[in-house]
Amino acid sequence: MNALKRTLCLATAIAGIALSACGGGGGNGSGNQGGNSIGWNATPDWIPPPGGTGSSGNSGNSGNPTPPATGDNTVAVRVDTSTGTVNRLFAAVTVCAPGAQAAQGAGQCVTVDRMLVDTGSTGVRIASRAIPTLAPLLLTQAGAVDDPVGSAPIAECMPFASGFTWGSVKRADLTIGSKSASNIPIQLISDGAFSTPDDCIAHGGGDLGAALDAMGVNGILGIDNFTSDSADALTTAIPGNYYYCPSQNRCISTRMQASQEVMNPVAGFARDNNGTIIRLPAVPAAGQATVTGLLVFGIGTQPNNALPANATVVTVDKYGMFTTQYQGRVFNRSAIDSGTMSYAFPDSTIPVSATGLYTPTATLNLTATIDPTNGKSAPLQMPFSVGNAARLMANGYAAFDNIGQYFTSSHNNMFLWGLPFFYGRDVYTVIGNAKVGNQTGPFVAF
Amino acid sequence: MRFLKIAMLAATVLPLASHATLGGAPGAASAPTVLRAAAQSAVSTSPQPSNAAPYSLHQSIDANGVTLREYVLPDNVVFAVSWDGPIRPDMTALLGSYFPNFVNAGQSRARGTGPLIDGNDDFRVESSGRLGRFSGMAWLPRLMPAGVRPGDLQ
Repeated sequence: MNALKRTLCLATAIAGIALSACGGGGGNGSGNQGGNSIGWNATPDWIPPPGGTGSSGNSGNSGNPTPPATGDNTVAVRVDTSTGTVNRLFAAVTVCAPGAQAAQGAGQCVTVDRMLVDTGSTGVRIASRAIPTLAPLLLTQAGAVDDPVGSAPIAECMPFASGFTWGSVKRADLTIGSKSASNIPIQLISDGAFSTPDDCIAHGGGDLGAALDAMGVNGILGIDNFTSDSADALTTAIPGNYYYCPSQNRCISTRMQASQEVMNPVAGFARDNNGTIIRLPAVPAAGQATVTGLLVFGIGTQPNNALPANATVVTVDKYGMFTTQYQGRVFNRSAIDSGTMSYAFPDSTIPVSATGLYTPTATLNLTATIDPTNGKSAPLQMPFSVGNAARLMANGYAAFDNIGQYFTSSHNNMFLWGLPFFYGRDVYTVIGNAKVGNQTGPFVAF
Repeated sequence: MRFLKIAMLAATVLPLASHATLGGAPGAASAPTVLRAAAQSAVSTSPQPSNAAPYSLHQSIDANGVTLREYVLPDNVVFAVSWDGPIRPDMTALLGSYFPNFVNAGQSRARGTGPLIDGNDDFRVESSGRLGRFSGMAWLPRLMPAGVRPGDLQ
């Protein structure tokens, strides 16, 4: 692999292109936002061109993946069988008590692996059980907007599609790869500090913390398009979201300041903080046992993270959503979401298993149209495949680019491009109003 | 401990739920501001006399702006509900005695952050969304009117 990388660097050097990404030291962010102008093709040649099926047409090295240019702004991510589930993307993070690294405080940093990489939520949530000795050393977040005293600890009931995570909001230093965010609010899942409020359960349903425990997942690394996790809590004390807790059995719903909400750690980095790229290799139609890829920090900030001129740019709304059309139906709550294990959409003509997975007799080649609403890109016909999930998953592999899930409700306007979409692509997620070239966030590009 | 809590929560809700919610009569949803409770004739895919709709729709919007739909059999039993709004509604009120089924569906299997699609012959649920936008549907397969599929419910 290294030899191949050196060869690639040499070839690149001969071609007269900037060398700074070779050797792993990383380029010094030159402040060049117009990534397109520096002539660096950010798409590694082991990734098939957009729109390709990944099965053919990419001659040469498709069977021998070459790692992309690395730098100080990358960290390995992987899809594996460690949790007994498919299409879960994991990374490791290091969490420390605020200031501990500078003080070299022994035992005040813990590396937590099996964090679910989720472009569909904001912020870091770590299971308390994963950091039992460190948890008490993290700083308590207080000062909720509606707390009359201002000293009560803040806890969150974070609603997800399938349930909620409940636990204290703490401040911690967080390091991913070699990038650090200092003193940012995170959620400590199921830390037992405060009883789960009734309306958290009533609106939340199942305890996702328990489900993560069952899988051996240690937390969620939420790196979506936003800096803080709840836009609505800034104005309204939403039932089943943020609380201040004067005592163990008394938590009261509250509004929040953005700076106190659980935060996208990337936005807290000193540099390379305007977004992320997830780079996963293509997988065969039958799936692959494991997949290793890269999470790259920053977009257009280093030689290894430029946004290609020909990328499809999809502007998202304040919930991270855009419009997809499928078979004449408009899905205006569509999202590209690494935390979803499937393509999730309604098609009542495809057979379905008891757990809602599509099980067609033969693999279906389908097309949906991603409709970039900013008018800057043309509607994009996006081919995707849906295979028989029951048959595919029987082989024990972890990574599939053709698992689909059926939405029944005719009122559900969601079309989710889950992790299957990410294989064989670079997926760019731009945070907030960051400007990349002449494009302004929040947007997703690929 | 958590089970106890859920059981206690269900117990406090049940007296209210005795006249309401999934498996019961409509109109349960957490003191909704009823905008439109008049029953509508619904379309059936099965050939039936036009005046014998197999179910009616009760639609309301709750205090948090969540649109709630209850699908009601002619004998006044709710066989399906759906929700759509900025938060998930009070599911104890909407699902009544089936609330624990929703809880179990959410935490009994290995779940990630993606949508919940699960159930059995007694109760099925799908729940999707993210903070700010949630929607979903729950139904009782055994009570579905003949010839009506869950996806047909408008």
